[in-house]
Amino acid sequence: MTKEMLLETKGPELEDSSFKEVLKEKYHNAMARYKAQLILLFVFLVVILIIVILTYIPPFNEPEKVYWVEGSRDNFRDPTFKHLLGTDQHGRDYLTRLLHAIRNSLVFGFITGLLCTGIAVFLGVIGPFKGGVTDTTTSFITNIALVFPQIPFILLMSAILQTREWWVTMLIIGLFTWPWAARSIRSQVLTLKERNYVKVAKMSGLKESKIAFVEVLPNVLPYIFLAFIIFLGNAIIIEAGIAIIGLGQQNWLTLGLLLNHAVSWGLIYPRRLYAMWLTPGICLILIYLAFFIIHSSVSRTFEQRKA
Amino acid sequence: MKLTEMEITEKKENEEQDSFSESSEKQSTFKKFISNSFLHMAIKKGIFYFVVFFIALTLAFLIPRLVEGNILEYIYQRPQGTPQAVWDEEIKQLEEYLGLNYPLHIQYINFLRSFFFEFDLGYSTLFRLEPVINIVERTLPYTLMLVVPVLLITFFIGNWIGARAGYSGKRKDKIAYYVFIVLQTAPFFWLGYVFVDLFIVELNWFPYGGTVPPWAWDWNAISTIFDHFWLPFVVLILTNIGGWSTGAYSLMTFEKGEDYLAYANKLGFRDKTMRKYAFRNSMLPQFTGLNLRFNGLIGATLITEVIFNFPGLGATMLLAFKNHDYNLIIGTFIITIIIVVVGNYLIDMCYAVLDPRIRVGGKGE
Repeated sequence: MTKEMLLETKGPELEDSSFKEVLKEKYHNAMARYKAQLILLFVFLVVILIIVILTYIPPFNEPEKVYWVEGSRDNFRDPTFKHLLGTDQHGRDYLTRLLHAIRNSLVFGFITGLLCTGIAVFLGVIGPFKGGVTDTTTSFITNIALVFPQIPFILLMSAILQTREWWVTMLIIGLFTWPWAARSIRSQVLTLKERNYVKVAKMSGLKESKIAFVEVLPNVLPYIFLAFIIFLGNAIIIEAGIAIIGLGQQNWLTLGLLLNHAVSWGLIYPRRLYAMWLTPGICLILIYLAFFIIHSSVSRTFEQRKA
Repeated sequence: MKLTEMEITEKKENEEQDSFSESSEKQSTFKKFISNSFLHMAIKKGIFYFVVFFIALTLAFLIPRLVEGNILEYIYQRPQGTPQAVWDEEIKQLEEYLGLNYPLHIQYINFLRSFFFEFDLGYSTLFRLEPVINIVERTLPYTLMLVVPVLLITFFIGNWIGARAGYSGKRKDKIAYYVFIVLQTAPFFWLGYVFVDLFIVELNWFPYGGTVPPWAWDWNAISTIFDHFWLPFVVLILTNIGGWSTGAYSLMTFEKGEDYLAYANKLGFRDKTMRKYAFRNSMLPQFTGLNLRFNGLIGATLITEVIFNFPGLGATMLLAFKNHDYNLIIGTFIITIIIVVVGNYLIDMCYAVLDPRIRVGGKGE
């Protein structure tokens, strides 16, 4: 009895004093080890933040504003000092539109990535824990979706559904690109399920769903995060891909929509306004490259930690 | 669902075994060549891919019918000056003629019957009521001649570059690796337009347009086809090599730490020989990636065809979409599914030939 009481009184004190030190040590370790990655991440976030802020302040806050010269639209203009990237088919400033498009594309990718990750996590975690019929059906669904021709299906759906709403495109991309992540999360959960602490949790009478989502899921979080980054980049690219051939959504100003306008309004040919169709592509490359670098450095970090 | 499937597989397996035991007395070499487990896996995978195909077919049937509004009103616009009542009557007659007034399950049975027994995909309104199957037959070779070589070439070159960079770690080998990683992140459709601008508009080296002649064993036709073929081919290759090399690179860096290589090094093996061993041992997991890459490549090919106006399945699908040719959309889609399913099946079988372990695993022992 006395021992227990001693422990109880000692416990919080110890934690409180050492907690800050541990945090400090961890911080220093992380800075020493992953300096390059952290700086990269920081630069990326700062650039994104600057773009987002720029879209809200005066010269860049009106993507639909039309510029006029002597009673006619000031359109198809090459880069000048007033319009740094020229003006588009309706006489709108292209740099403004590009900044808005980058922001909207990132938001689009973020929401679609969340959708994909949600489906993958749900199917990957619930199968091994429920077992029996649920497990076989979820793994069967995952296996089928894995060999399902995704992009042809996305093309078919966008062609047949008459609406060109943003949420339709989002749903279509989200519903057809999750399977590989579900499979890898499932295999991770299957190995974690055999650990002793899960058995203890089961014996202590916790609910299956609580064990799955509270005890096991945090251990899979790194993989989920990696999957989310890949989904984010892929969603932006796929959206641009189906938009450029004219099947994408029409009400969000994304990079895909800019490319689609460049094709359909002849900015590529015959007008050949390089500033207006090379820039969205370069932005796509930079965004995807940034996510790729984040992904590879994060995965290397996790591998090091495991070893 | 699961029980019946298992019964079917078991039954088929038993049948195969029966027929096998009868024939095995006559052909013992055949038995050696294809083991029982291989046949078992072939049948199991075949059933699986048939189920996938069936589900995709069902979705292709269901989605257009669940969309709000009439399909016929999507295909045919009301001519100007026609009263609405007359037009409604017309649509109704057409519906009866096409069998769209039946309940959904009877339509479904009709659809399946006409597909599986007559291989009938309907008639195209765009190409003057030509059967869709003929159009697809004409356009299919163009897609296949892009997909199959690109898959094989990127597989070998990408793995070679990645493994070389991972094994030696020299700067000379790493340059190519990093170049292809950056190229892999470039969106292929945008790179396609860059190529169009550079090589077609600026330099005028290649022709542009959909006037590609049908395939024939004739020098003129073949040279014209290949003039149109090179640019999409190169774009797809450049953007797909990087994905393979990243995988090969990480596999090779893991393989380098293995004990047998250290032992071989101590024994004084040549570097070239060791690299060969490491390459062979580490590359097996890459074959499992072939399925996923193949699916992605099909989609990329469809979009690239549209950009270069190369008249394959993708360009036909988009043309059909723009002209409201409903049967052609569904027809090209079904053929695309068939390509994907057959390709995946072949890849799985190749993997089973290369790695005997998964054949045994297929038996559930």
